[in-house]
Amino acid sequence: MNSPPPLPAGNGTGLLKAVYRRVVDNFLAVVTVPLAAAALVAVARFGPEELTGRLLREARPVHLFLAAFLPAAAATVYLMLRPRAVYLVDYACFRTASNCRVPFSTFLEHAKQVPVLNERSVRFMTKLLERSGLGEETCLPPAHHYIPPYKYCTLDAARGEVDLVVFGALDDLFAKTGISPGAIDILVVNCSLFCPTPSFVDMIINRYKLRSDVRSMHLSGMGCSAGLISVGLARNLLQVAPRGTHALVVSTETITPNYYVGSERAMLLPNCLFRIGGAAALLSNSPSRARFRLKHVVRTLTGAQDSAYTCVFQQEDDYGNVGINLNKDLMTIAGNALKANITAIGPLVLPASEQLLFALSFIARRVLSGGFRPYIPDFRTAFEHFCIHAGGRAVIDELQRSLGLSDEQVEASRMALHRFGNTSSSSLWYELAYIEAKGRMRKGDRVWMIGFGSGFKCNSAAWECIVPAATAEGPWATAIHRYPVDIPDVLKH
Amino acid sequence: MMVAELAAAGSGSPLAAGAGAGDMTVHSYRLSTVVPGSVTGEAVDYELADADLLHKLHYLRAVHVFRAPAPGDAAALAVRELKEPMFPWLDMYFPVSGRLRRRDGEAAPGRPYVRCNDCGVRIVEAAVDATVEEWLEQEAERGGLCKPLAYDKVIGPELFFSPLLYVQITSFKCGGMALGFTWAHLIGDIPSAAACFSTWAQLLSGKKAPAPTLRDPHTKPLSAAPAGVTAPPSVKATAAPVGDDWRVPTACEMVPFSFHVTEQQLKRLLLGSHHHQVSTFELVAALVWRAVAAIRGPEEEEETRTVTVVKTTDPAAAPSGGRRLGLTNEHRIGHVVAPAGLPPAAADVAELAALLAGASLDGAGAVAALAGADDADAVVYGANLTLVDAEGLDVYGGLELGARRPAHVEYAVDGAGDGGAVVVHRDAGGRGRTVAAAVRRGEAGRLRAALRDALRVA
Repeated sequence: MNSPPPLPAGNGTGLLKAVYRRVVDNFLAVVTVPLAAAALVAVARFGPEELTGRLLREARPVHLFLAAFLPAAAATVYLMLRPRAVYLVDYACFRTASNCRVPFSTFLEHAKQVPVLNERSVRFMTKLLERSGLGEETCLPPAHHYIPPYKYCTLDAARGEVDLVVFGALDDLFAKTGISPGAIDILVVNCSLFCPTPSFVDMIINRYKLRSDVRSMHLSGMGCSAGLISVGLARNLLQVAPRGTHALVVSTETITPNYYVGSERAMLLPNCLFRIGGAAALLSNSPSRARFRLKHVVRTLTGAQDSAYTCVFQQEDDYGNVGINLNKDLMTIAGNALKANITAIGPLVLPASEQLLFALSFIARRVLSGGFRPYIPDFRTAFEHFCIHAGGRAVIDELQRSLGLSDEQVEASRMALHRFGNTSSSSLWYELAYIEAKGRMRKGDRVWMIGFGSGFKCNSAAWECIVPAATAEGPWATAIHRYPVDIPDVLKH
Repeated sequence: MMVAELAAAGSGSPLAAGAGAGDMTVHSYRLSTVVPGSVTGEAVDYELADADLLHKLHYLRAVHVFRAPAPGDAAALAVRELKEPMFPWLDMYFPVSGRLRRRDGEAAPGRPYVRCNDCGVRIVEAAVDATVEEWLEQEAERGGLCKPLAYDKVIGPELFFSPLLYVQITSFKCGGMALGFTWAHLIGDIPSAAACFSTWAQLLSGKKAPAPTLRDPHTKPLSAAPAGVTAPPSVKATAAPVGDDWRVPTACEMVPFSFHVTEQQLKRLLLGSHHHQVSTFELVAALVWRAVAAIRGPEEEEETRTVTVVKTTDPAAAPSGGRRLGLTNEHRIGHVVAPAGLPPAAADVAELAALLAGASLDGAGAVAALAGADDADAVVYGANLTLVDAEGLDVYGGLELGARRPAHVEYAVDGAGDGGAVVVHRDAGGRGRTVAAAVRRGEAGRLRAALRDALRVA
């Protein structure tokens, strides 16, 4: 049980709140301790020999047998039917190389050479990039370093990017964990927009010589929140697998084939914000050598509403160029999806005190129907660290506002956006790597990963740390000493 | 693009006279960009001195041709391997990967400077359907074949998006390759450029390269010259302001020209002038001066009397083989006027050479100060016939890639004015000379013939 936030000094309401929290969170103890005390007192008054004597006279062998057998049977059934706990053994992210770096000015210069982009479009992209929160070290695949960026984006180039990103992360992971590729039983890959034949999982199987009975899946088209969907799928498979099963989850997005060659402004955004990145995670259902425990995965899909369904939409523009259209009310829809997700995950992770407050506020708003602001549960009582999908500056700002988080709590997200750009589904892993590289992770710390993606989906995962990382090795190794940086409102270029 | 590995050079097919067996056209251009490996910083500005801006309309074209590797040697280098050392190289030479901006504000409005925003240098991949041997034969016969092996672009029309350096990698049919650098003269003079390219070659060969000493990015621009001083004859203003399109407007088209002076011919020249204190540069330059004066004839007699002399190395100052590790325009510029009794078209080579040897030279900074306004559109190379001494540069040894030495190197000045610009540097053996020039269209053939005649007789 983690300690609640510390007592604020000298503040009357703060003290009241802290006392309230301790009482309600430990309600069971608060109730049973007096009862147990009363029972002990009663036993003491009656005398122990008299009590046991009475019991033995009244009871028959059948009663004794049932009294012993039933609880034992119930406990055994409960323990056996409980789903296996799922653990994260370790994870590794693709370490971007300096030879893929694209500074802001280079990106603009290349965009200018695209014949279809006119002055207005280039000005739009300039303004967007200046305010995007991306830094000067983000990386694009080698094919995008050519002029114009889309001309040499062949299938081979896309496979080359996979080679660079995914195999890089996997090599790192195998080295870190010491596990041999032949020990992988389950392989789940998510990559939204690149779907070659043979599939992504076959590329990995071919490269690392995985076994012929590995259970493999490629989740395609599931958007930027697909990383947690893969983790959820791997969890489901591990829960019914024998102990000691290993699952490999690979999250990435291949940028090479997806350059939008048009001038529609809402569709130019992905060109500007997406960067290469990938992560591989090894999950297992045995706690040996595990570093994190997966506590919950909660998925919320709001696609039933038309506005949510169409807010991130792949379509052709007026000239037939395929791109992804981002709607203007994306933030509102993201906010709604988040609220729905919070409502689902809240009861699972929040301590009793917060849930009671939320329930009372909910009832009050319904019954009294007057001027009550909705009570936003304080998620800092449930989690120590937050990994918010680095979809863009606006997304992080919006979430910070709606969850009431401090700057330090969203720092991982902002810095990952600055250093790596929007790496789609793997951004959550880069943020976790940042927190660990900064040495902020302790045993018992709880992490909340929130992913957003087309659909509109909002997925959450809750982890608990068992063993923090020993070193800062990983994608942040060369840069962590420079972070956190102050990200200007408008980047000078 | 992989450079194909085929058998060693030498197709063995005889060339028909005048028409090459291989077509020398360069095709299949692919452009990409290489940036510095690490972030230079936010809003880092590199000020350009007056001497730098004086040369803003000129470019250095440095072409190095490598034969295909022999069957036993290491494989030819792929483009990716050539690009790899460029990232740390540009970290050292970060102003080269910046872009030009113009100052706004009260102090020196409109003055160009370099914003070091890591925009990068342009890499051009191209191919030519000839072998290196065929090319070398054609070059010896016709000359001027180096120009297509370096990307022909100038700064402008948008300063914001114009790279200061292009690197062209041309693949030959046999597996050989040519490396052509197009370097904006404003960022550094010829020795600075040579040192910069050499640093890259050292990094590629796995050696540790010394970092250059760059001007502190935060120094203020050097103060403007006092007004009312006349410009020296070695520098002329352009007829009209060029605005942001930095090329010299010329009345006639300038074409490339190259010529080789062998060791034997050079020795004969020296013997012929033993009573004058002249060096090989002055002799070769005098030969060219006389030939050009003869070609241009009596209509231009006044103009051809004056030549500009540019010395890239100062024997007194630089001990390290002419290699200066930095980015400056510190070469020396002077002019020579043939006296009335010595018309250059008919003079003795030795006497012209003596005249050239006696030229009084000023540092580029001083010349810039004399030339006046700090953003005037000045022509230095080509204001008159310009003779550039690059003998002190180790142009072959500087670009050794591992064990491979270039088979042919040519350093020339692009963007020269009507007067023409001639660069004299060492050849492959080190004892002959290569003459690389930009001359007017129509002069190249006659100049070649004149030089051949002169060297046969002399």
